[in-house]
Amino acid sequence: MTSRLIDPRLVVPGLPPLHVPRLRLITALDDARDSPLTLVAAGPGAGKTVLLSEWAHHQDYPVAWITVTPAENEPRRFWRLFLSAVRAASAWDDLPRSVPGGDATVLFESLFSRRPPPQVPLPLVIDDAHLLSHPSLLAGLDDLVRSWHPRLRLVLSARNDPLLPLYRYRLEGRMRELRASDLAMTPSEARALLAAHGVTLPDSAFDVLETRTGGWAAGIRLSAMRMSDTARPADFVAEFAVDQGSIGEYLMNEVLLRQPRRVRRLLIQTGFLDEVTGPLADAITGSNGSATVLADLARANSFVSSLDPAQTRFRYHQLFAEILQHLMRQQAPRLVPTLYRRAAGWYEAQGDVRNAVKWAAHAGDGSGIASLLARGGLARGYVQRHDISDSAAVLDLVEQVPIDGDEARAAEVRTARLALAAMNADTETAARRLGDLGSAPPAIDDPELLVTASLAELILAEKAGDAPLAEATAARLLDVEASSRVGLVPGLRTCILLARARAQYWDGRYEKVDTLLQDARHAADTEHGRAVELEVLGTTALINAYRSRTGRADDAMGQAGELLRLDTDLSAPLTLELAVALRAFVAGDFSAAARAVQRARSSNVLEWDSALAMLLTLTEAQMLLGCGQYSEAWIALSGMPKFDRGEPALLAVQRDMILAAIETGLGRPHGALRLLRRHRSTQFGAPVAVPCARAYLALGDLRNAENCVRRAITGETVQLGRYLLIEAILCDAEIAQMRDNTSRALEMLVRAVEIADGEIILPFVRTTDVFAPLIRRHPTVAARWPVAAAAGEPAAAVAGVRRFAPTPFPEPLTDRELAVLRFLATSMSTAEIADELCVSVNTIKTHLAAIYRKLAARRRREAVLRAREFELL
Amino acid sequence: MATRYEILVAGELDEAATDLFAGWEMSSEGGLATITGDFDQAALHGVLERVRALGLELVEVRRVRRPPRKPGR
Repeated sequence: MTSRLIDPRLVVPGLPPLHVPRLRLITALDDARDSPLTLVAAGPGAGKTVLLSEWAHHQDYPVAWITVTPAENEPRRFWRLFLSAVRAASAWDDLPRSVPGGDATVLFESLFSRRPPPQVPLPLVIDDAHLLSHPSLLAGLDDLVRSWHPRLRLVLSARNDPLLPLYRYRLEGRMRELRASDLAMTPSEARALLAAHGVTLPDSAFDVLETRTGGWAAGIRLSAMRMSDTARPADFVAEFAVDQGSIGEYLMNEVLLRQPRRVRRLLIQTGFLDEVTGPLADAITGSNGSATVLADLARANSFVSSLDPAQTRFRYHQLFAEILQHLMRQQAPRLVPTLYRRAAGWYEAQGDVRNAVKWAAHAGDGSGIASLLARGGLARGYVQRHDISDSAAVLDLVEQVPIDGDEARAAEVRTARLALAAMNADTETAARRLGDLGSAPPAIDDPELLVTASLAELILAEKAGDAPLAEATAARLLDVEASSRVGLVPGLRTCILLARARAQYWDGRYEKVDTLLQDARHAADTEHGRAVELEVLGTTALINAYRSRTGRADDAMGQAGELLRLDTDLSAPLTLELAVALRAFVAGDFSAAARAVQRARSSNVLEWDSALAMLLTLTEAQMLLGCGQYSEAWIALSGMPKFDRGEPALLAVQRDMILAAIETGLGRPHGALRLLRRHRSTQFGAPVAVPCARAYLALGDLRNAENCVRRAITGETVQLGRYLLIEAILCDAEIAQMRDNTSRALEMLVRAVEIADGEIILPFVRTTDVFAPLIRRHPTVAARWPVAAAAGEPAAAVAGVRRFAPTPFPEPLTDRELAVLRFLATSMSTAEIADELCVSVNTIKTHLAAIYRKLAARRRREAVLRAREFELL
Repeated sequence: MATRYEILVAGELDEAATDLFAGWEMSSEGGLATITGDFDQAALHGVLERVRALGLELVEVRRVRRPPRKPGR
């Protein structure tokens, strides 16, 4: 459940009103396009950000943009943001969501080794890069500069030279630089800026201003603002010239002092926020009407800009924000933590735990954070699959809260620590944590805290891939006493029911899964929210697709598609993408399956649920296997995480079945039988008998092959599923064919076709070659055979299978283009679409041109058809 | 806008430091190491950031008004 709210750190900042274009610098940036690195290094207020955003708006292609904050000086966080930025600008939607251990080498390998070069240049701007000083992070950036993809270039803006080997880059010609001397405004630029503000100065006064500001962009802009409606601007210059203090502070004070008192107060008190909205500013300043004030400021003032076309979210120019914060600390230092607390409180009331935690951390309020997390915070994070906070500061603060005296408080802190540990764990640490928990469970008796502690355990169990424990913990949470608390957080009950259904299913216990899914459905009805409903449909579709109950799976997928169409803010959950992949794969549509797998790969839920991560890998391996790419399939499987606490039983069997098929495919059927031996006498005996039969068949041991087929067909149907049943029957037909029992072989083929009912194609694709001579002799069977190859012509499905490669979709659409695309399918005019998306008609036209080009369409209708073909709509 | 600066730090510059300060003049005398170069403000702060990152003790930063005359050779 990820909403598509835009991360302010990834937004290319808007240009200030009365902006004067700086063509010579734009040209310099364009000229540097062939250097892997462009460095824009100059002090605050030199106009770096404004220049780069002007340049970014000038580019024909999207620019990936990251505004670094101090919190990003941590490899894992930084690379995650980096990936989001690249994804947003390039729509490479198969990028990994996170970088394990913050090691960028792995990231670059996966980014660039298996990918054809992008068709369009992708510049990546990192604003405020001087904040990055973590050695491993810098090493990663250095890697980028040295081995960066030819079409990708790095543009760093920094207040001081970043700690990269700049000297070497200069020697090797890898870097172009724009420095303070380049950014300084030339007299003609300064005159143009003054003129834009309606200020004309006599030459002498202009010279004084030039000298005093030294071409410093912020200085000239502030002076222009200060003089814009004065009758005698030269008088200001005269005063300015004699002032000895810091020109920044002097000018800022001048500009601020001319604002009405309440505007000044609002600005100073909210200067610390990286994103300001009217209601938030109201809450912090204890007044109302901030929304209007902010919108007015954004229109007239160069130092407030809006982040969205609707003018509800704002950001302050950085230098301005710094001076505001400085003024705040000067005027009322003791009020500062209170302001942070008010921000935390406002976000908490909005249910936005992540920001609430962040500002509580700024206030140094460790026990506040503990209380937030222990009482509902973790639950909200779980439902929304949001990383609430992995920053070291939060961990430290909660770690530092003393556990003494008040027992109630102590329990809260212990619970919060457990919650943080659960959120920050990966597969391995989760297993360790569970080991610790098992030996020393925290002493908690407050029912609300118990819910949080159990939920933390559930999260750890899902991360560790421990299905039995996940099931037991989910059951505990759903038990009568706990469930009244669970009901307090919207969506939580549904999510726990789903977790339980999945856990039972992975553990090979099917009896209650359907009931649990139904319960989840009912719970979602009362808990509202389409996002929660979508989760239910996703898990329902996945489990049914996995069991080859195609009708139910397709039904859930259809409903989910409808929801996604109704609400464009929703995105498909991982479970749904996996279901789509499985269904397409079984139906022999490998390219659709590959696209779904790529979309699944970018889901952040992979970090939360190791079983789903494992299933994704299995699906990929199975697809490679289906194309006869045995060694690739084997490599895909070998990259799977190790589960220290035992693996989900069903998935482990599935993996061994794939490995066995690889062995048989590579001519080592004995190896296959060895791999499967341990499963043959378990409850999975029936499904495992199918690859065993194939292995015996490869050995020419028809007797044992036949026994295995019997075992599979007479086994429990719930375990076998329709897909494997068809495989078993086809195996039977092959045995009959080898025994020259044609009538039995034909009978089996017809039976398999009937069971498949046109929905399951893959097994027929795989065996077409084997049965081709037989089918050709019997036109009645040939007519019903789902793959056309039997008639002697190359079948589309077979060609599709052979064509499958990990990167089937040539050029992905950006998020923005996808948004436009959705409206293209309606009868809306270009102007109406522009209006709907709050952008200009020209912007829409630009997107349309890109969409048409990427989809190789000449007109709207054609684009819609192609998009449907690619499942983009 | 570049100006000549001397940055004095305590101790000797080891290999990591020499690497980070590559491109500028480095000398060492009487327990003090000196890094000399032409810097604009961003570059100067960059050097100071490197001093901090290396954990060196910063002794003095001074502006050299006139570049030292080259020794007659």
